[in-house]
This record gives sequence, C-alpha cells and structure tokens, in this order.
Amino acid sequence: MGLIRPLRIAIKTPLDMTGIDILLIVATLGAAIIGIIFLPKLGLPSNQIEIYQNNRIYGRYDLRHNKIIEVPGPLGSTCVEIKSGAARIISSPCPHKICVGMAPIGNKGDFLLCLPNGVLVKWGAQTSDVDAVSR
Amino acid sequence: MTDQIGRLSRIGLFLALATVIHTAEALLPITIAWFRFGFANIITLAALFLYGFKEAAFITLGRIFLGSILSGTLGSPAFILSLSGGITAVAIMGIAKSFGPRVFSIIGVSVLGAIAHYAGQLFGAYEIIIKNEAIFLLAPFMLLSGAITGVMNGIAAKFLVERFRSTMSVRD
Repeated sequence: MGLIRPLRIAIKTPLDMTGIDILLIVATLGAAIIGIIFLPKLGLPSNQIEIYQNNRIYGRYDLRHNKIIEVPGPLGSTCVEIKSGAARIISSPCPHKICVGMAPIGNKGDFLLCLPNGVLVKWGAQTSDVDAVSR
Repeated sequence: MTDQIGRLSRIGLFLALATVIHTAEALLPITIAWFRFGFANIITLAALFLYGFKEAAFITLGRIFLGSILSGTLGSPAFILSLSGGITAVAIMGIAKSFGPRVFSIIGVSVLGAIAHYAGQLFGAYEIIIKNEAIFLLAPFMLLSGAITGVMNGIAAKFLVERFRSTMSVRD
C-alpha cells in the first residue's frame, strides 16, 4: 500500500501556522470582500472615447459625463456631444453632413468619422487587442 | 561530493516536476480566464524551504521558460505575464521566508507568494498589454483566490517538505 503511508503522514502532520499567518489570511480575505463590494462603486475609467484631429490625439473623454466638445479642423469646428453613455457628432462644417447622420457610439470598436474636417472619434482609450491566457 | 550530486539531482527533479505541473495545469478546463491554482508554486516553496532562495528562483525561472516552450507560448503576452508573476512571487516569498519561521510558516509564505504572483501579473498586464485601469477591478477577486489557493498549496508544500526530510537526508 504505497499510497496510504504518505497520506497517513500527511494527516498526522500538524499545520503549525503562526499567528501572523492566520492574521495574513484573515486580512487578505477581508480586503478581498471589502474590495469586491466597494471597488466597482469607485468607478474606474473603463468607458472612454478618444478624439483624433488629423491622426493626432486631441483628447480623451469619459462617457459617463455629459459634455459637448468642439474640435477645431481645417473647415471649422466639429461638435461632439457625449450624452448618457454615448457620443455623437451634432454639428460639423463639412459639406454632406454624413458624420452628423452616423449612429451614436457607445460600444467597443465603434467610431465616428468626419473625413473633410479630419475628425475621428473612437471608443475605448488605451486598449489594445492583445488577448492571451497565461499559465 | 555525493552530497553535491544528490543535491544537484534533487534540484533537477524539482525543476522537472515544476515544469510538468506548470504544463499540466494549462490543460485544466477552467473557464475563469485569470484564475490559476498555481500548483507549480508547491515545488518553488519546497525548494525555498529545503534548499534556499537561489535554488527556488532557479526552479521558478526554469519552469517558466521550459513550460512555455512545451506549451508553445514562449515570447507571447502569456509568457510575459507568467514571468512577471513568477519573479514577483519568488522575490516576495524569499523575503517572507527570511523573517524566520516564527513570523511566517510555509503556509503564510505560500499565501504571500500567491498574492504576489497575481499582483505581478496584474501590473505586468497593465504595463505591457492592457493599459486600462479597469483591470484593477480584478484585484479583490485575485486576493480572494490567492488566499484560498495559497493555503491549499502551502499545506501541500508543507507535506512535501516533511516527506522529503523524513525519507532523504537533505541538508539545508
């Protein structure tokens, strides 16, 4: 019975945890529970848009705060409106107003583009598409 | 001389074991993307307590490189995360152990190692790959899992160390 002997040794071995061990485990569990409850309420910036003017970053904006941003361009200024978690272009000096007709963005991969005025509004700041599972 | 050879072969055995565990754990069907049992850390812990910090660091780095070659992730983002987690974990465990057995037993060292591994991974992922503060929302869940897997692995490592000491004449 080669398997049983090590098991019996294992069961008979006392754990010998120190007081600091137990304190550490309790503190970690406590911090985890507090974190799970309170951290989402702090609201980390997860939903952002990036505005580019002629391929240069013009600004990053949080989608949770309603705001109107005027982006200057070669034709004049393009107005981007952030309202209830979505962004859209409300006015632009371009000739065909195609950008004004685009649907509001609020999801990953969405974008708004006003080509004549060189304005690009992209969802999701500072993320890249790298995905992996580590071992 | 024979002592040296015995020591070398046992460290080699530990490295082989750690590599196999590291690779085999990758095959476990777990749906939570960031969750790991970290069974390979049992071997690092045993090496730390039986031999010392240098040997534990050698086994950790060795198993990450060898395990990544075996699972085909060498050089990928997954490998970078493994490496950042592994280095942080072994460094913190070495420091924790140096306080002596009265401060942290092997189980406490294991819990600290598990938390350090997650912390290292999280910062590695933030600095190199994701660059979005939202990933820190995972931190409390990682603390929870670190405490649980840390205790499990610590108990396993304790039994391994005792068994090793009782059957072989290991010199520290």
